[in-house]
Amino acid sequence: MSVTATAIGVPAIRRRRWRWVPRLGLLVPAIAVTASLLVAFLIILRFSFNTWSPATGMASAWSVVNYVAFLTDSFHYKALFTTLKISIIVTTIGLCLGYPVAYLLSVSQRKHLILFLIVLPLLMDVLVRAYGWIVLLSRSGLVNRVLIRTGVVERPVQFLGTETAVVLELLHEILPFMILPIAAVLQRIDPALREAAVGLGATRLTAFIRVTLPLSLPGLLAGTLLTFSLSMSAFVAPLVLGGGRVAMMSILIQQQMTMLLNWPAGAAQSIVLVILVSGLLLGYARALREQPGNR
Amino acid sequence: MRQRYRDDGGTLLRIWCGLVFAFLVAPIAIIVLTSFTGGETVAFPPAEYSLRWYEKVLGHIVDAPGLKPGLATAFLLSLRVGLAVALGASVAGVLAAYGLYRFRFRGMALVRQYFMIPLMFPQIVTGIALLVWFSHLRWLAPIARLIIGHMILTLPYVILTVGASLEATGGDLEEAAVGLGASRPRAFLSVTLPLIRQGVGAGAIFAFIISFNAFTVSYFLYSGDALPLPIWVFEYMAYFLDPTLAVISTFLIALTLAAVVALDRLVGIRRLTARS
Repeated sequence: MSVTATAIGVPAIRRRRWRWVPRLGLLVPAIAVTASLLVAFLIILRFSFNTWSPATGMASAWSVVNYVAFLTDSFHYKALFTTLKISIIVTTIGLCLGYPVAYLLSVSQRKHLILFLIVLPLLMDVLVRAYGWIVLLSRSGLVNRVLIRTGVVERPVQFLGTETAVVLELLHEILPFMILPIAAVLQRIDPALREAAVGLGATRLTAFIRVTLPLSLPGLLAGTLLTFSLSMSAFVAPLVLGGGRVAMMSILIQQQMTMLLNWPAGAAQSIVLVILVSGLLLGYARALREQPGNR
Repeated sequence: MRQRYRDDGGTLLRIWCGLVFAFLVAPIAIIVLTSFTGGETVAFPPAEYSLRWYEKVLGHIVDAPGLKPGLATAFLLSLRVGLAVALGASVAGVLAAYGLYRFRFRGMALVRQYFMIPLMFPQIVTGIALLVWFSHLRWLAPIARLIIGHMILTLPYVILTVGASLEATGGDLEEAAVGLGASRPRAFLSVTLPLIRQGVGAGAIFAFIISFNAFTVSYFLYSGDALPLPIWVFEYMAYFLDPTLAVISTFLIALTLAAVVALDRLVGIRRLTARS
């Protein structure tokens, strides 16, 4: 120990007292980056209480009129309703599609390949993905060809600009986030439990329903909350696949901010969206903490 | 005797999962196939295959029809922003992760949560909040707006990845170096940093991919002078839906594939997903 003190040339006691200063200094650049988001957020929080009219623009005020609009203006609450509806549909279908994949991932010998298939779309450019869906769903696209060939429809169906297209693209976007938390929990469940249930005479289905499924509930909850919050804040899907015609909250916000230039209304809608989404994500974080074998 | 219990999930599960994988891969496969079409439209399946749209894209590199900057300009801007973000987020992220994971201090858990705040924000709100704020900061260079916006998005991932590396490495070797007379910065640079270089590399690649592909935040922060590639693609899409985009998208898919393989080599795809 004496080597340390002499090498550095600072008395040990003084060193201890001031040791935390350079350490906090390490955090400063990162704190500043995150703080810039908070500063920006505080500004729109303030703006959300301002008033606005088409003639005079924004006026400084302390008014809740932009928040009240959510309950009274049909344009506003319909957007909230559409957002919730699409999020519920996407999350439900995502759960049905994703849970079996998570199960396969947890028992398969070829985990690496499966993970690769899941992670690739996750990291792909959002517009590339959206473009792929445009090509698939266009009037001369593969989906319409198959539908006509098999005689389901006679003329091409207009998918683009509808909620169906938005739901499909969103599903593609959120599936990895549904699969991975569920798989993480399934992987920690001891296979001996299933084996014991089957050994005691349960069918595989019963073993799954009575043993595996209840134990995987925290992962299921985590995946559901995460995908629900991602669907709520989706922007590219309604913008590109919905062509701006599927009025989710993000589209409403974008139109208020960039077309109508009604910043107070757009700010208030942003605040509501942040509160809804961060509430869901806090629930997600709690669900993750309650996983079996996690601390 | 009862057959030994084999937990492979059964045939039905495999078929179901196969369909889900088809769903995940379909848009990607369609784009790649469409890029080789010989026809005029993105109709699928193509009647004939050729490389004509690849030639056409080569012509778009300098200036594209109807779009102010050419493809190369947008690509280079995205590259510049991505590299700046990867570097900036790595430096800030490594310093912060080192401060957070190596030393214990009061309020540490709170600071960790503070760094995760950007993940709680819908990206559209991040974009709009910065748009409103930056409209008051007219002196800020257009490219700097994008870099700041992307750094906010990527920093949490870098801190998590580097922090995981630091936790896995432990502090014993660095303490040994300090005990033997090295200064703290010296011990960090020559002992700890080489040990966590894979985590740092993964964080930097992650930051680059997120920045390169970022659309939502860029949508509110770009300008004519700083127009990143995803925005270029979006604007092109508004005018044309010809197979040109399929060619560009194929290129971007190849780039993402390379990045995923690189990440896999660095930290292993399994650890990557355990964090996300």
